[in-house]
Amino acid sequence: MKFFLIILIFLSSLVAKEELSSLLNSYKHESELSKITKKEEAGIIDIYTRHDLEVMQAKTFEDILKILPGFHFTRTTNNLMSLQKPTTSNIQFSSMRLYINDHDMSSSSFGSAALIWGELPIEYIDHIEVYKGAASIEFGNEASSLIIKLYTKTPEHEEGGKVRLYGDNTGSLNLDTYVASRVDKLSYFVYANANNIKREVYENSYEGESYDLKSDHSGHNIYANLQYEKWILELGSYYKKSDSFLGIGIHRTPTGGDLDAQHHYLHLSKKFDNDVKLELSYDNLSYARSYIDPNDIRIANAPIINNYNIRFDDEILSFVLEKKMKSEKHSLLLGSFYKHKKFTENGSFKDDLNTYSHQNNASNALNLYSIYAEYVYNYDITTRLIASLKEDLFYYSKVIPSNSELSAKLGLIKNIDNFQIKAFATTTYVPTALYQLYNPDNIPYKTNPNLDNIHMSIGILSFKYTKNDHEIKLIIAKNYTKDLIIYDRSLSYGYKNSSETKEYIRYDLQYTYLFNLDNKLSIGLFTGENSSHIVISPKYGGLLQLFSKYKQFDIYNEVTYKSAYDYLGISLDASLNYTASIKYHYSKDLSLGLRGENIFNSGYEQIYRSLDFSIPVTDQKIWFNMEYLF
Amino acid sequence: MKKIILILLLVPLLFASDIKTEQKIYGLIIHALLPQKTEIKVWTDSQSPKNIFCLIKGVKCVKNPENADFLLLNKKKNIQTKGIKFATNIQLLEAEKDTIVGGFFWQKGRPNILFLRKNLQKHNITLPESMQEYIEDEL
Repeated sequence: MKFFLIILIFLSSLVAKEELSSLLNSYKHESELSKITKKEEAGIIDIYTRHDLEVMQAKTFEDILKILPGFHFTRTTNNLMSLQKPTTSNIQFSSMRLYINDHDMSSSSFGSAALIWGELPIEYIDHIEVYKGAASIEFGNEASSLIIKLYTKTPEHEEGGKVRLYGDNTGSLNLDTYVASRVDKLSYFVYANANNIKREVYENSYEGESYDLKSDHSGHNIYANLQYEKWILELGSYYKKSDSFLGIGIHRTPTGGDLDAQHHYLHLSKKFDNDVKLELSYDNLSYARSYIDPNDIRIANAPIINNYNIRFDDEILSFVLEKKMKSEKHSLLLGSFYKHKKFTENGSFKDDLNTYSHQNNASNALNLYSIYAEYVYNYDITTRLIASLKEDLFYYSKVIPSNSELSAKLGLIKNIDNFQIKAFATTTYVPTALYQLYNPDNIPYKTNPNLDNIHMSIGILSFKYTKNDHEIKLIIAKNYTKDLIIYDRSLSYGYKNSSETKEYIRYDLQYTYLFNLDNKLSIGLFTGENSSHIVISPKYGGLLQLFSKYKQFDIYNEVTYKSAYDYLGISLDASLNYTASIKYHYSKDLSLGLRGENIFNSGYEQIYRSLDFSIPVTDQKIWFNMEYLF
Repeated sequence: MKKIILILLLVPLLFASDIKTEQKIYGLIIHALLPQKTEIKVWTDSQSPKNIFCLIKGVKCVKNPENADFLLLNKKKNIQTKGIKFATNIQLLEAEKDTIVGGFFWQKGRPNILFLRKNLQKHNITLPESMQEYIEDEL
């Protein structure tokens, strides 16, 4: 009996020990902030949890964009990150909108955050949500069909601090650090980053000369989140300097040039007890570009030049007020916002012989008013209906005519046993960027103040089947796009709206198997087709991810697939980009990691006009990573 | 020995019911700290976890802190009681480190459980072997 009791106590002790540590692990997973912030009614969501980001050893926003289902990640000739839908060219920058918490990071000039924030280091980000086919109404902001929300880590969960240092085999170095605490009723989270990232240098030859195609970048980022009772004040300041890669010269022969960009913002919000939310924010951005190419840069309304300098300065003041009403069956969101966007452009353009020189200065401002409502009806516990409407009114200070736009969305979410069906029909628009509307000198590019916004009708169907630890999801999305903006250099006003309606259909199949909380397999395949049947990017894409944990090791494997494609007379074979990482947890507070990217140097390559070879989008690299919590 | 056997008997009871992970964790902690009691009187100053507590098997929520065997504290300091005090945030644990036996709180991006050895000793509490790794001499 005594022996039996000892054995029983020993075994039970082991079970309890296992139980408490595994309960803590379960609790950590169950408490992921993404479970609170995600909005099922907003559209089709892809979520990258904190656990995912940590196991992946994700460094920058780009690491997520590279694996976004339904898109190919690429970069433009002037070294900006961009996305392509299968078979099509780069998406309009302004059709993707980026938020950090509730703050819209878009610039006035470009209507997008991609120009500055694409390479954002994300150590201060807790999780990422990607909404497709959304009308943006749910987020109380400007229209967009692709919404990416980055949620920062919070003072409540982070008490303490962290230092993360990583570098690569080419000499890149990045340092992140943050502290969080609470003093009486004041909580704070303060983050700082400095980075200097090296990238592969390619060479282009022209008339016997060799030109380096550089794309290094460096910068720093500061973010603070202060919470006092229900007030939240956020401060952000990001600076980035990067090389211009191919530049914009006729023969892709840059000898200099860079991007010097910064974005500073303040965002104050309060949630009142009566479900009223108030937000006030101020943004100050600048975006200075220079291009130097001895073999000529072509600009509008001028002879050939060699030096191109342009600087955009934006100021944005924003005020948002929302009220939520909720009962057992009904939920109604009423909201309105006002934004004042000021935009200034200063340019200087000349040739090497000083035979031509031009300077321009222009400014304009937009007052944007918006009212919106979203109604959700819970018919029963398995059926939810969604209807939303939004009216935007645009008033410009100069030249550009005032206009208004209506966005609307209808949605259904239905659960039948293990099935979930989501259906959304959205009509929305892509706001035209100020730089396309206003530039009175029409140098270096022509503008059209009468340009209409791009209008889109989007239908999305999603079927999800979940059984035990298996989940399979099929998404079918069809877009009708009209008033597409095209740049035609032969026209006196350059930009024009296409009279043709373009159709695009996308299929996305995703399978996930959860071995347990720490071990997950995810496989995705996607394709798309445009109505003009022109293929200028891979028609098929795929992604395999395996998240594993073995003892003190986190292991991550990722393979992205892109099918073969031809463009501009260059044929490219199908590509496989293999990325893998391993992290060793020496203790609860110290971990060391390695991450290999494009390990076999066989990843996706981009073809560029006026360049007779393709360039890998992702460099072949090994990263060393150290993380210490204190 | 009796204490350990009682915990062993209570643990399966806790996990038999369909309760949330947080409840399970608190259940394990409470019964490990008060293994001799079959009904544990609990008081808390935190609104949110109150319901979590009251549903744990063997736990009864009370309105007066003086009547409580176990006090789960979020804000309130300097409570004079013979009951066992336990914190839900690190600030309170630091402020009350002379009397509080431990805490379950978020720190460094993860949930933590911690027991202070000297305060466990003051209450003559011997935690089971399975929880020894959570005992610290200092914060």
